[in-house]
Amino acid sequence: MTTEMMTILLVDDEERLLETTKKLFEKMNIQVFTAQSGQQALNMVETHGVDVIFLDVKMPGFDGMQTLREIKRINPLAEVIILTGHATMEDAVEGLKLGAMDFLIKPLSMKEMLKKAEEAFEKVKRHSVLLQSMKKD
Amino acid sequence: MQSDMYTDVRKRLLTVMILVPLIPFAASLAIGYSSYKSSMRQAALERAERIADSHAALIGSFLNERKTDLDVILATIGEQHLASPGRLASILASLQRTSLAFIDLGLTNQDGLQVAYAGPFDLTGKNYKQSKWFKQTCAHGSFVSSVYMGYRHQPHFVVAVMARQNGESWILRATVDQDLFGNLVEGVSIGATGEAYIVNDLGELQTEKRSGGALLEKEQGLVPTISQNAKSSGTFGQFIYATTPLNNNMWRLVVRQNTSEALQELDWAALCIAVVSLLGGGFILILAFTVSNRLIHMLHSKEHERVEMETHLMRAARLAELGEMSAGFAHEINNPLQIMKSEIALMEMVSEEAGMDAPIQEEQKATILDGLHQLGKQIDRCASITRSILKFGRHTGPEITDVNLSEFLPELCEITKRKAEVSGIEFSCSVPEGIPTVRLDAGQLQQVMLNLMNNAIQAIEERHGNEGGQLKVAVKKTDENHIKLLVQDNGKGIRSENLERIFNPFFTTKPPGKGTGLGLSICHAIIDAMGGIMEVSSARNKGTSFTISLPIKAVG
Repeated sequence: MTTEMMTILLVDDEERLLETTKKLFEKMNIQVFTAQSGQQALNMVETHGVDVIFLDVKMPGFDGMQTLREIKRINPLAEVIILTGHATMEDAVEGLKLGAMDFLIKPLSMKEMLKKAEEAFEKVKRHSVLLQSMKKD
Repeated sequence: MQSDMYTDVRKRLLTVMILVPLIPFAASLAIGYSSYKSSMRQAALERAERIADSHAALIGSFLNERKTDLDVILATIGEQHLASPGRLASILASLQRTSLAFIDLGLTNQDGLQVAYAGPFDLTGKNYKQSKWFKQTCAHGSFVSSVYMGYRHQPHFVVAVMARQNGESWILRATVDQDLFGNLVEGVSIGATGEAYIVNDLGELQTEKRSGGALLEKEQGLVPTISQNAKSSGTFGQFIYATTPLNNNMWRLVVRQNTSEALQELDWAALCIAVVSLLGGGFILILAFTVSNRLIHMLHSKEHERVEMETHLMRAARLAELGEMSAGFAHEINNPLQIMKSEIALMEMVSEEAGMDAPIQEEQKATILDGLHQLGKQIDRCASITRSILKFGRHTGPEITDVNLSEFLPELCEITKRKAEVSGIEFSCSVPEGIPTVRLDAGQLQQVMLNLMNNAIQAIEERHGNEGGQLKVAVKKTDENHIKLLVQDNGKGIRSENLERIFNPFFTTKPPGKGTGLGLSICHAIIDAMGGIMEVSSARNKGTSFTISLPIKAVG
């Protein structure tokens, strides 16, 4: 699952946003999955190996924070970046506590998104190498 | 309405502040005056009685002296000597040297025949057997007569004494000078209207009255009503009087004075009381006016402060509501902005892929056009949100206008709808046909409705999280004059013990720093001021519904 190719999961209730962003990442040869709800996102995480997840916390249905907790349970190595339209201090603190790598506020430029994704991917790679070496011992 | 209330309060205050001190003040003056009057009257009566007593004693001793004079003469000088007119005249002359009380002297035998006479009239040989004075003297030994005309045909009275010598009775009789006796009786001094006179048992005047009344004239009114042989005093007509019996109860001495003169000092007291009442009353009036004015002024300024405070609170509650809404607004604007950014990025990428100088391919053109179209859509989305925000902020001052609920309510719902949708709430807003326009302050109604809707969303989130919430906003016409607004949720509900208190100021179940506890109390106050009724019903874990009944015509 952790190859040189980065796999991203976008979770947001805005369909158009998912579509366009997916196209953009794919043009950069990054594999992208999308999910419109927390439940969908968890299914994706379970069935596909994803490295980086952009997660909106304000969504109808399954709460963003709950989704984050579940993702971390299913795949602790995956890095989650919270991307939300409305930031409250409480949400930010809770998100970071639950293990999110960052807490970003919309609107975010493509460049920044890519940068954050790459940073996250580096971290994922580092962690998996560390994990591999520990397994060998 | 407000100024009417102040006028009313002012009237009551003035009435109380004038009457409360004035009644005891006037009462004490009246009581003081009446007790002063009665003691003045008592004093005048006592004065009259005292004068009557001492004067009666004086007159009584004068009459006794005259009897004694005659007794001494009759006892020391024998009847045989007295019977000679010359001797009698010389005795009269010697009596008149010491006192001018006697006018004449006469000696009468037991048959009533006047045997000797000395004096200005020719009365020798007259027979007095039938006279009252003769009979009374024979019966009692001495007698002072009432005034009568007699043989001389002039009003006079006599003093007579009887002595027995040699088995025969002799009576010495003398006429008292009416002028001298009159002066003695009249000679009392009590003011200008005071007078003293004597009346007999038949009510005939025995002395002249200074206020008018000749000898033997019948006294009218007063005297016949008084007991003959006892002292008395009182008021009769315009007089204060005192009487004392005299001359073996045959006579009464009357001392009397005009009441108005006797009570003259009362006028002075009345004047004093008038001045005191005027000054006191004036003082009370001035005090009442100034104090009530000051109180009204204080009330006014307190009321003003209260209104000011209320306005501040309203504004604060409005800002709090706006803060609550901002979460929804921010989310709703930032989402389209994010889409726009990614659309732009995609378009840039597509155009760069083709190379700067290369002509645009059909496929690229389609992508770019789609992106531009999407940009337009997202801009419209942002614009509709900013319009909602503007609508929220627009109604600032209190302004009563015709509000068309079939436009007002959907616009209002639009603001909340996004926020509700983010929380996965099924939001319905129903406005049936034919809802009348109402006259009220749209800004205030908006504030109330938003407050209720925000509360509902919070209650739903607390129970359902982001799934399964239902929020229903509706309006209907209940009768000719009323409409009813409904905000109903399926949230966590309100505990029954809190239900009574939710409209109390500062009551909140939120943690410190989260809520002011003023929202619902202000809503209640606003609806109250509109002449409406706000009611709540709630069941734990089933939901809450607020109903607002509003009159179609505005109040005030």
